[in-house]
Amino acid sequence: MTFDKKITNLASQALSESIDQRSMIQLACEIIPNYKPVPGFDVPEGTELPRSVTAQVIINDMNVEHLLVPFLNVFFSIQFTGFKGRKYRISKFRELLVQLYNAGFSIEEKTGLIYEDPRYRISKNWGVLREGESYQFTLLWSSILPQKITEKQPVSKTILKTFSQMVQTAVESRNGRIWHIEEAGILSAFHFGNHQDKSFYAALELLNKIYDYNRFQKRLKTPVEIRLCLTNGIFDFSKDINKLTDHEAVATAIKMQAVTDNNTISIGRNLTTSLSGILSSTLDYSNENGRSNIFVYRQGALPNAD
Amino acid sequence: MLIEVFTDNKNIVGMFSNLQKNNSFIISIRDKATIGAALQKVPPLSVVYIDITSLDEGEVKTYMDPILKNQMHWCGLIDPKGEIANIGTLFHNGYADYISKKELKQPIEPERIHKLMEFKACNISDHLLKDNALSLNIINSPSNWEMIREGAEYTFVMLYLRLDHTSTLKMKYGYQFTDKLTNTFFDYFQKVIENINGKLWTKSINQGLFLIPYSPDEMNALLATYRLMLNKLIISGEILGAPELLDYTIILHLGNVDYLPQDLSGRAVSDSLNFLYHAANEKVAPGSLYVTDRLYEYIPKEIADLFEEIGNFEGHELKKLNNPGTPLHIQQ
Repeated sequence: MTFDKKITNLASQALSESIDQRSMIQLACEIIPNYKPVPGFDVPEGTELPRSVTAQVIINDMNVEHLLVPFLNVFFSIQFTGFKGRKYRISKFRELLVQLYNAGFSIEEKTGLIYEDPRYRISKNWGVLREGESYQFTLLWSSILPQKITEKQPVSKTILKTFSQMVQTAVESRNGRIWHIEEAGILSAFHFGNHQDKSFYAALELLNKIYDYNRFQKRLKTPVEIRLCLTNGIFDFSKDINKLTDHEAVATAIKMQAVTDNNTISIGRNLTTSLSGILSSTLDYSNENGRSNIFVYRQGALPNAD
Repeated sequence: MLIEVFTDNKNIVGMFSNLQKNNSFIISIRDKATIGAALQKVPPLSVVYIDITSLDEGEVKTYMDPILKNQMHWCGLIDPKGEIANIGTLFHNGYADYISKKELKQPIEPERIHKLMEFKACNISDHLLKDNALSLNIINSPSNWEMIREGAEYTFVMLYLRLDHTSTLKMKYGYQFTDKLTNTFFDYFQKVIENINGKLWTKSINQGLFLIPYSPDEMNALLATYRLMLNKLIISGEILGAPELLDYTIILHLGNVDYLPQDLSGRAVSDSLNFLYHAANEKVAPGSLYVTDRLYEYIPKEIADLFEEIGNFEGHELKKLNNPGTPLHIQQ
């Protein structure tokens, strides 16, 4: 995504007024390795560019390469987490934020990370993650079981569609993203904020909604049953689902459904240590039926099986 | 519990000061000049005290005999001058309490009221209680709140809400945190109930009462409160940011009340309000949704099997929701 001059001018002004030239080039190198700013006009050898020109060149180069948002994330981090052991105050930060909001982006309060605002745009990488870069994710695999009548029958299209919509609402309202949909299940990912807790609440919402659906949907002959699996891991982001499923965390999330009881949530042990107390206190640990290192969330009353 | 006191004596009014501070009691002080008309309107299951100063025996008998005969109230006489010779006869005739000259300087404590209710309770028949409880003169309420007039009587769905175990929360997390959490709790529930045309009418510390104008065609309160229970963990952790699963109690009832604006709601008198606070303090266990018999027909049939009978209280049958949203690990 590229931005208009209003944002690029403001960003280059902010960059120029916040840090020295050397530091701004080092920040740029975090996005484009070995980066060197080359102005669009001839400069006598040995002449140092003015700071404002360097900032302008960096911002324009990032914008042309559709890398301005990742660069701004690195730039903003000097205020939130610091740079070389020191925190910097970013000039014109609020004005820049306003322009980013208008462009359909939002900012995470604690970390200062920008991401696309789901009210305006939904993309698998939140508009900011880069292909091949390593990030931490929490994954939710949601599967709907074939409805048993007299023989196993595939789930009706209506129910599949309804379930997909439920997953979309539960996931995207918590700034998660749907990465892949197939009849076997839906893979969702969470990255920003307290993504561990958010993924759990998304799964919980699905459990409650299916319970409600089974109770109030008059046309059902048999209740809908689902299995929800949560795990987390650090791996390279890709828009290609085939590359994603190569990663252990993704494969684990999908495999967990085989040991997940109907209408329960299975949670990988590595995730449970990151959950807040209110959630982890609701979990059961079970080593039965081939489970290992898996915790389970069960509700008090299950939908009628008849 | 409503306590009606007919007196013009400030010292006698002062005796009820401790009860006035207690959330379980509503104290209504009335001029003795209004005894004749007001006694006929005292809601059933209330306590009535008459100051007999300047009243002769015949007058007291004229006022009190009909109430004593109906057996729907607990009645007491206040005798500042020690005029009554045979106190025992009072109790034979159906009175539940007698306050003597010597007791005038002592404040009345809640325990006295509980004792007189225990003493007299067996004389109020279940049949009378039930008949009185189920019969309700339905008064159509406008669904638009702007058309509801101050001082006029309407039928409302009454929703009692309480955040439970706040004392324990204070011990664990501190007063400031718990107060803030309680405010956030009520702010959230207020928004939810406003969406079903309800209004927070009165609130005291950790409990409050909402009114929803009654409309038989639009009974959303049952479904809305069932979902508030189903989503308890999401509400506690994600929406309210609580560090542990919260318990909250909801009681739904149908009753009439003379509507007063929120700042005057403390003056409202109604047997239905009376019943709700009584049930909240003495009958229901914390952490569930309860529905009284007046609303049974509105429980959606799809979730009817989730409700179980918990018995009768002050003439009303009650059902409790077995919450499907409670994590099994916590239930166990």
